[in-house]
Amino acid sequence: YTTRQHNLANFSIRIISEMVETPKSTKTLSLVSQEGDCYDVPIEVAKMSELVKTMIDNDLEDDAEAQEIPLPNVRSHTLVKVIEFCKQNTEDPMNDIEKPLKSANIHEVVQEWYANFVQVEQEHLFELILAGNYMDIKPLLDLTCATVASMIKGKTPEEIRKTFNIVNDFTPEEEARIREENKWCEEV
Amino acid sequence: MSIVSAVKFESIPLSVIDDLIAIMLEPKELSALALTCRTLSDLSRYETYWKQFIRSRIATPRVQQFPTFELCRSVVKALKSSHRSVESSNLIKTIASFSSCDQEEESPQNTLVPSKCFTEFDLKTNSLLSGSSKNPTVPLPVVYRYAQMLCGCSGMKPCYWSSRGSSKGEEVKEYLSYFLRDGVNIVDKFSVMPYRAYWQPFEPTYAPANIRLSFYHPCFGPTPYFSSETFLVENDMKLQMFSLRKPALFLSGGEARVELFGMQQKQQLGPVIPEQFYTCISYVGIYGASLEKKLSFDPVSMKIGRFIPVQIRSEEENSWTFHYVSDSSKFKELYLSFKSHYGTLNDVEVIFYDKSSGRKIGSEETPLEIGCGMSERIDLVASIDVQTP
Repeated sequence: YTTRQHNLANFSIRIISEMVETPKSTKTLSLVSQEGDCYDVPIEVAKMSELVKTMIDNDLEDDAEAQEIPLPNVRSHTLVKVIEFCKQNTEDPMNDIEKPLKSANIHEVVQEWYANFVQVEQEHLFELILAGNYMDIKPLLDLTCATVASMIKGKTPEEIRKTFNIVNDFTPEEEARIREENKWCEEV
Repeated sequence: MSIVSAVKFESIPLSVIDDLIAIMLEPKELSALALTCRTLSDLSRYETYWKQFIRSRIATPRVQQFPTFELCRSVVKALKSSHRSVESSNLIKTIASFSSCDQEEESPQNTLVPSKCFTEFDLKTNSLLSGSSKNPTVPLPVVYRYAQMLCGCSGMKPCYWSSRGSSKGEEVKEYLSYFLRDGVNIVDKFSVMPYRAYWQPFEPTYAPANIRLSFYHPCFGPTPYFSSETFLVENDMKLQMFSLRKPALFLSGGEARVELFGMQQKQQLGPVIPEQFYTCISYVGIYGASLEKKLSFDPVSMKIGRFIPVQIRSEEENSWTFHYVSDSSKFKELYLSFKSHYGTLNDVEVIFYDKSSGRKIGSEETPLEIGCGMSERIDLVASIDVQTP
């Protein structure tokens, strides 16, 4: 390999890599909540949502105005949290949550930022689940569901009902029958 | 001002509860959740949950399908009962095959029963249970030698199996294969007791270096469908128990093989007899429990299925017959076996009807497809039309 051949090879490699590499987009999207509020979000962050991904118009010019993505099922206060989550997940991805849950303390299962993120009112947690499901954001869904699971862990049926305000609509016979059928689960 | 309605637990779609929340729970927590209200009561039978449970907690062979929830329940119930007594949970029936044998009397059959020289030896008083040598001043090796003389293994009646001799110790692979109890079994432990010849100079123990349990079945050809981790064997005559990392399903019709790797001991009987390595085993146990009779393995279709008892009433004959069908097999087989009672197959037209609904049972349908796959029993009525030639 002579010096001349070496330089020629390097030059060719540089040209090819510039042609092949897709530059990171600086485009933003405008996510629109149920109430009509608009939130500018970098496209790479917004793409965490599989739903948003499918709605992106790739033919738009780079210098065109940010595309509006309507999200009629998500309220503003939830959308703000969702965007916060997606931003953080781009910078410091959430670790995989082992199944079944090893602990009822969410702090022992995910990084601190994420554990703090889900310290919200129960109704807000459910709204985040619905948003994560609707917008198809797997890590958000995993985190919020793990949180609900951690609230179920170690509780009796009555305690679970109290925690989530679930109404017991069993007849005493039905309840006894199902309890008997599932007794073996206690022995696993 | 808009009224914000509180988002309740009930608004979470069932698919999310099933696929995400339930998977994160242990079985008893899943059962607690299922007991909260009617909508969630089916959660404890959720297939995906038990499929994932089996994948992570039980070693299963690659077979066509099994009723996941039923299998898990069967395994858990069986293993709970197997913890009662070690001996009653020994599943070995007989010897299936073995790699080699030295003298004919040192046969693998000897591994089915614990050696008398071991069982008659009382470890607490270091004397024989039969009492004749309860003298504490007698040195231990003498007591052991006496025990083996009484057992007969130091003479012409070996109580152990011996492999063929080998000049190389480390590379040798031997095995002992067993048939286990009929049906589908779940195995969680196995044991081996190497043999120590107190009557030979230096009182050697002929243990293998390592041991492993593998399951074979003709359906899968020469490769085992299960192999445990490899365990180290102590070179001493004591009952060594090995617990499997995950309990493993065993299909009858095949063999459970205890694989013995490497030999630790050479037989040194003086200058005339050539020194060779041997493996000698006094006893083998394979422990677990049998699953419910209604779960069985069909080698033809390679499926573990649930067998459901069927009662067929024939109005023309005013008689009842009893059969078993697999939940995933076509009713065709039931038709064939029923027809064979009534002469040649060509001359008999048989139709089954469900006794309670009157629904006609098609021969191409399966119990699972028509919704009675989980029934405890199927009741049918047979309408027979014998065509006279």
